[in-house]
Amino acid sequence: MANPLKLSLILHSGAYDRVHHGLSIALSVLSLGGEARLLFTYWALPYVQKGSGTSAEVLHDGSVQQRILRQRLDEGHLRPIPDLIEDAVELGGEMYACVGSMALLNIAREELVDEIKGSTGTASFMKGTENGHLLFI
Amino acid sequence: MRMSEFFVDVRGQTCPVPLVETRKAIRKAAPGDVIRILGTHPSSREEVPMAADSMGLRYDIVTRDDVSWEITIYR
Repeated sequence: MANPLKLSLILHSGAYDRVHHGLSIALSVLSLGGEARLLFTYWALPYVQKGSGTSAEVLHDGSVQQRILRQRLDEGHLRPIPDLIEDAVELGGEMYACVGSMALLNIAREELVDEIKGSTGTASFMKGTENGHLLFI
Repeated sequence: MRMSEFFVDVRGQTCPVPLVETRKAIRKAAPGDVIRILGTHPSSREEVPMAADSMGLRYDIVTRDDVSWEITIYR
């Protein structure tokens, strides 16, 4: 067997397609037997906030791109972000929330979805990136 | 112990869903079980065998028609 991929992913953007693709990258790594750790920061953090921003309702800016995404979600051809988060955890992925972003956006730990393993700072998260790939989205 | 067969129908689904559902099935399966994946997404036809390879599992690929394929993984 080949050496497993080790991925650390910092999700910063709140754009639905960026968060979606970040999760897709993590899921691809996990599905190939690798490891994936994700840190939700800044505008990506609301995607792991209970009852807020985790559904296709965030697609409201009226752009062509967002309309395409909305249509594909409604048709069932695109798996929604909350489902991808569940999949990632089921396959062994680790999800963290950025402490600084939680303070910035006034989001408490108990407001985060159960899939979040814990809250952490950037330095602590970076310590776990040795010998692996780091992506910032 | 009797062998179990897992069926993963991911026709119409795009990446990474076929790969993810395959991986979930492999995790649920026991040694000796068989996982059959039916899909249509072209790149998943290449990626599902990559997942099997990464776990050292044997597999067969059958092209069913112009768009669909079936991959059998032997757990």
